[in-house]
Amino acid sequence: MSDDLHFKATELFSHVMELPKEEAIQYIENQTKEDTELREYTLKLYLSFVQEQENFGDVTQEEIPVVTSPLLQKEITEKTIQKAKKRFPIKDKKMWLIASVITFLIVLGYVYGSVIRNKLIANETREHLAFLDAQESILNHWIKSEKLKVQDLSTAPTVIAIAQELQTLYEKNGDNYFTSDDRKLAEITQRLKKISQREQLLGMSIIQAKSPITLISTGLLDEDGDISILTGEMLAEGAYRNYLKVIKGETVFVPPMELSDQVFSLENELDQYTAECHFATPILVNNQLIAVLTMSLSADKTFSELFQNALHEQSTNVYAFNRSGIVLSSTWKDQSKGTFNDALTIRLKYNNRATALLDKVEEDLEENTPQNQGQILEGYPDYLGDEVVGAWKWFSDLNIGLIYERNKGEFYQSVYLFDVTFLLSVVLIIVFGVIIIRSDMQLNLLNKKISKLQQLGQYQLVEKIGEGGFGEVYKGEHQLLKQPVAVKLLKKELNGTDALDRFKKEVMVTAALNHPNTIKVYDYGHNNKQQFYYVMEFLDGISLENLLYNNKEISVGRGVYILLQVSYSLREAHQKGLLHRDIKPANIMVCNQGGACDTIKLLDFGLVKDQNTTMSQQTKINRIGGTPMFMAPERLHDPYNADVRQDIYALGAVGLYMFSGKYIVELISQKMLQGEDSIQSLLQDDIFERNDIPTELIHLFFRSVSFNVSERPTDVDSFIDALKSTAERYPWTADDAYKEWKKYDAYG
Amino acid sequence: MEKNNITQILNSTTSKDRTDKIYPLVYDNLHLISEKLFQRERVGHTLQPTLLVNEAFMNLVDEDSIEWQGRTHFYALGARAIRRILVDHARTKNTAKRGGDWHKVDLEKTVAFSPEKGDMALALDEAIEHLKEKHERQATVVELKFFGGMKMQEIADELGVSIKTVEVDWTVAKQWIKMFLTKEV
Repeated sequence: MSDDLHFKATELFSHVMELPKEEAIQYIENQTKEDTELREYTLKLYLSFVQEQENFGDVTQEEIPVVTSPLLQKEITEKTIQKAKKRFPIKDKKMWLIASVITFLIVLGYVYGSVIRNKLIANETREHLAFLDAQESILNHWIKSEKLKVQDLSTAPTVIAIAQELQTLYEKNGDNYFTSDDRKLAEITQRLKKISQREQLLGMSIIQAKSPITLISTGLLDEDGDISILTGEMLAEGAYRNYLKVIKGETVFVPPMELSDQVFSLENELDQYTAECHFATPILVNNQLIAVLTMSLSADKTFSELFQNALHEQSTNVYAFNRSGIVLSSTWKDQSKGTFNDALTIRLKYNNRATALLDKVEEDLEENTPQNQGQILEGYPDYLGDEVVGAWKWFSDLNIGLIYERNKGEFYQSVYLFDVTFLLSVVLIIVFGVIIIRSDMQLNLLNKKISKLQQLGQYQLVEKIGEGGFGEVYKGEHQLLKQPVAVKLLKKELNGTDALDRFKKEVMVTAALNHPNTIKVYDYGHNNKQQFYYVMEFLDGISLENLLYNNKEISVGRGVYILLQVSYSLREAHQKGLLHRDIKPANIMVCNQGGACDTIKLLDFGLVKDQNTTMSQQTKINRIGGTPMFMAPERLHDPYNADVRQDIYALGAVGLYMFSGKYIVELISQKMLQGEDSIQSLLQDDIFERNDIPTELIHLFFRSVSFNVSERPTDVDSFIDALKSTAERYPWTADDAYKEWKKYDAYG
Repeated sequence: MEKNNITQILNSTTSKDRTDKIYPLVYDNLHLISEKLFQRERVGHTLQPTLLVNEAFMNLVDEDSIEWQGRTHFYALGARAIRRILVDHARTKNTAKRGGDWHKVDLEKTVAFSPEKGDMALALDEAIEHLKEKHERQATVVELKFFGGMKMQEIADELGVSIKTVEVDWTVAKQWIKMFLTKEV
């Protein structure tokens, strides 16, 4: 194996280290088409590497956050974001917990909503039943008072006299009663009529005590208008039932019923029959039943009126009914026109079937213990076909019931409103909940992987890269751009001090400078934990201090090139009236900026002074700072009057240090020990151990560090001019920079 | 030499002095410390090399005035010294070189300083010497990492190269050493 082999193999390896296995092998094979020995060797190394990875996992990750390659870091970030975007990370226990909590809340919400909803409905319907109760009360009162009336009538001598006369007549003529004495009957009818009119009744009639035959009546008079056609007719089923009660001594209320239900058979069909209701009572003489008296009232004018108080409301309907489904009081005909149907004209039917309510009533009444009341809350069509909700009450003693129906839409208005509001709020909660959880999950996943370090604004800190007197410098990453930055943090303890002022000034000054050789400031701020920070470009490089530390001799061309770049940066600052005052090798970065090797950046304008500020302002802001090694001596005894030549001094000192490895302070103390008392004589050629430094360069440096300020180059432009003439003879090309860079970053 | 002096020399950038003068002191100090441990010779008693070097550091260096470059260099010297000490100790014990199930060994986690693992030290020492002929820098990386327990950044600073360089070197060197120890190269 030639020595070269391992070097070449390492070079190849560096390119494929982070590629997936197949790609890596492909690359190696492509690059080693001519050299089988190299190929074998490289593949061996690579495969051993892959094997180790499989055995021990990706070990470099353990070193986070101390060091990792930026590429790996990027990959981790991407992977975590993808994970967070996956909809159902089933393996995550926490996700299940959250999902079950949400489900529980939804169920809870639903239950709660239903409870409230039902309460709302119950409240509304309670009204209906209460209303019906009230109606019942009204009905009963009316019946009671009318019963009293009819009872009174039955004791009136005039009535009793009529009854007795009729009885005599009947006993005389028997079945032919009604054809016997027309004149007499007509006369009695008139007398009864008078009583009826006086009492403001629709009519009266008297029925035989022993058999259900109408003896006399004031209603339904024949063509002549003398005698009622009912005279001598037998009672039909409906009337008969009540008749039986009366002859036992009861006073009864007979609700409206069809004529056919009252009278057994009528020879002549009637065109119209005005619905009426009756009150019947026994006529007693000496406690002996002699006949049955009935008084009739217009159903519409009396009975129906009882329920009219509810009917002015367009959407409600209250009416009486019987088991056959016939409506016994007047009801809405056309709500919009305000017209009514007369009693007994409507049947509770819809589409030829009994209405749902009627069915319910029937159902209940057939039970062993009927409730005699109920409701239907789901909508059903009434006899008009409108969707309604209804409540009903049945009076078994009267054999009639009351129905209260209400427009479904109107009834449910408040409930619907509640439904919509509730649903809307539930949906909103779920949506927000999901949003929160998802973003929380993303954050958690990102935080777990990337680092425990904090986040400042849009920047996530990755690892510490340096430390200074008043703060630390971290490598950071812009959350969205994913590009590396450097974040300088001010120590929190220094928050209220003048160090903060200095920090702020540093940022603003640096931000004002634009030269490519000056470090670029991107951002500045503080988070709510009172942590001040600023964000700069992240440099891929090494400080001049580190570069020289290992005492590699820096070539003249490179050294001059570096100084020149620093001078350019300084020139902009000086033109803007600013002094750096802390130029030293630690503040000079030698970088690779996107392939441009030896890009020089001047950093740390922390001690910068505005040339024009007054003394009092400056004393507050600036203490004596700066590294003594590169600090102009006049600063020690006259710190407030600074000018550009202090910076020139520093440049010279850096130059000397670059090529000699020595600080001026060292030289001074060294020479002083040797007995020299003149400082100027210290600066002799022999401080340089190397002999390739051009004389004019040496002299430039000596002039710049002269303790006599007036001997120094007056401004940075003259320093630049002097450097340039050396640079012409000692060029430093991009190629030179690249080659030199390779020694530092062999596999970049 | 007193602490002050040592510290100053370490801080200076003249590397000849830094190494030539300081290394012997480091070696002697570490030798002293490790002798005690060898005498105890408890089985399973392993120590991170950094602990030993820390002790030596505290003995020899003025912590307040040492620069970070000086500290890093001290540890680099320490790594060299530890390596020498372990190897010498193993030789005096006539430890035989073990056969090679090196594939199962995770060199990342292997602790350098364990007196009873002397055979490992011997084998590695030989491997490093051979690697030095192929790639000097990689050999140094291995020495610093393995015997010195130094972190990547520290090694990079010490050698004056970028971290990436050290990472690649370490990865390749590891494989090479494994292959060497299993006689594949």
